[in-house]
Amino acid sequence: MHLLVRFLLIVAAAGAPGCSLKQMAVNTVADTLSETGTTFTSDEDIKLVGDAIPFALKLYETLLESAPRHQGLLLSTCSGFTQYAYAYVETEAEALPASRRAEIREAQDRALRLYLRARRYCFRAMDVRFGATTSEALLLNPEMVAARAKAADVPLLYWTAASWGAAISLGIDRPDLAIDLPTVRVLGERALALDEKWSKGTLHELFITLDSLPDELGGSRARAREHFAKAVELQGGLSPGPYVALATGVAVPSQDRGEFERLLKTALAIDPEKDPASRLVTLVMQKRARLLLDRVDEKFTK
Amino acid sequence: MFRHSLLSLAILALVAPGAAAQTTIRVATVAPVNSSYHKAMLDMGAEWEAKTSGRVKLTVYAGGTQGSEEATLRMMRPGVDQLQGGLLMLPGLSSIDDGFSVFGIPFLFASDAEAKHVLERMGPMMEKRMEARGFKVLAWGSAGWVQLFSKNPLNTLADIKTAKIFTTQGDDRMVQWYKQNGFRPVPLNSGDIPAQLKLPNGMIDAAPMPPYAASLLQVHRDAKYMLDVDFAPLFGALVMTNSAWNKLSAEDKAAVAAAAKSAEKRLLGEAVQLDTNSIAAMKTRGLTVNTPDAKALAAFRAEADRLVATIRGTLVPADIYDAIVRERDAYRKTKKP
Repeated sequence: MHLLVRFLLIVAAAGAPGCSLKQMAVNTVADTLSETGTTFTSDEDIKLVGDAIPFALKLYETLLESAPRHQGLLLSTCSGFTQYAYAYVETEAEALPASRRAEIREAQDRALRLYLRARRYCFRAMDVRFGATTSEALLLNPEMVAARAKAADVPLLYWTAASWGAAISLGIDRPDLAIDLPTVRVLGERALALDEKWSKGTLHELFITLDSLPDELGGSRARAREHFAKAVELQGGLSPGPYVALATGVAVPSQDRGEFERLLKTALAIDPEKDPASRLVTLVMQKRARLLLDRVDEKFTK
Repeated sequence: MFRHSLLSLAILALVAPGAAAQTTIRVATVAPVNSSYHKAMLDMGAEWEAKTSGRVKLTVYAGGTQGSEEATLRMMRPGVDQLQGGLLMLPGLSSIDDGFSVFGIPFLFASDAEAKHVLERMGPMMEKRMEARGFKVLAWGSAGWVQLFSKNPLNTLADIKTAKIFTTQGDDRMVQWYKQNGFRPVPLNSGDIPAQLKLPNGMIDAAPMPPYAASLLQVHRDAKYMLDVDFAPLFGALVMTNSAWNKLSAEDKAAVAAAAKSAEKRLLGEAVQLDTNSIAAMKTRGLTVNTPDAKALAAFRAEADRLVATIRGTLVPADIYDAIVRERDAYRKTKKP
């Protein structure tokens, strides 16, 4: 409600003659919105949050029209679209039975569009942070761009990599997208070097997935296991994410059904109340773990 | 209420035997998850299920999770039966029937249209040969055209002969053919290509591969040149074991075959666009494409035709070679390549 009042004030200010007053109000709300803390991630009601996020995202976009260079809000919008696409669009598509292909394809196409939309906001944040043509330079020389990042830029590096990587995963049949897979790794490696403990080991979780790729794409199952151990250590074993990532990334290609089931059962045994700030994330990942266990025969032939 | 439930159970018991006759066909492919090939197969599977009222289902194990094509063929053997089918490319198909190796011979075909015409004409004969070896071909597919990527510009066959060129490990006859014709083949595991190209003095400095794979593997970062001459098509086929096929009713066979033929349009047709898009993407990241002029291309083709003739009866059974060349030459007489 607090945010809504502020928003209404902005809408009212939009019609007022004092342009600078309006800009100040916009920036104030943008600052607040870009620091939403755990309002969403601590919720226990997956559906409630899923219904609320689209409104919040449109609110962010509305504000960005008035504050197009607000780096914090650009980053929040990028992360918001990425998380919504993963938790509510791509995961929902995965939950549908294979016979409902048209709906699956429609949802996956939508998730891809949302990831790309997220990436555009991260690109804009990059351009604000590092200079006007940074996002173009990122395509040609990602190492040079990443080298300019400092510890405070880790969230921007991570969300750019996460939105980009998720888009490539769904759009692997689009060479214009897939060709930039190494850039995702470059951004992740720079973030990891700057602050490996950021967000309770989220970067190590990202690298479980990246290192689960085939060797010729830069992956290494041994390294994926090292990142898994580090992520679990940093999270105190309270997040299902690393278990789900290792199960799908390493146990499936190794065709180790026993390990796959052990990892997912461990993920499901985690008590969401032990990390209240991440309650929703835990519930979403457990939903995915349950789905994967239910369909174990679609991953293993014996 | 109680009686109503009993009645329902009785009805269920009557229909259960027919309803339980459900078959799941498990198919493996090395095509990546979410690739166009994977999507085409999943769409086909949904059609199988819909058109057979749920009697035939498909599970696709994509991304090479079941290992190499050789490994997946072992899993299809009678008695093992962990898999009932596969989307196989040349290595798998050639191990079932030597005749397929003809499609991997460099420079045999001059264009996609020419190669597909020959495949269409030869298809029924190849399908019969496969059936005799225990496999039903459901659909043909293509992973595009192999192109030559190199660290230095290569414009002629003479240039290519100077390059240390990758060839698949284990195919000794192909290595011998290359050597006898003046090339410098280096047999390697295909997974080693990117790393070897990255080295300043690696074991290879040129690798034939489809552009889509080259872009995914970032080959263009080290092998910055591509010769714009179609090297060889990369045909494949979606096959099902005869034992699984023969368990289906005639009605279900018709539905499964029809959906597979529909999927074939995508499995065969989308690769060319994928190649084009991949080359365009790599060009924006520094790839240089060398396109020979008409005179150079004609010289290239004349020399290539002479080389290709040397495979008859050695790399490819003579009868298959003769039939394919007959079809190819007949096509060339009617159309421009």
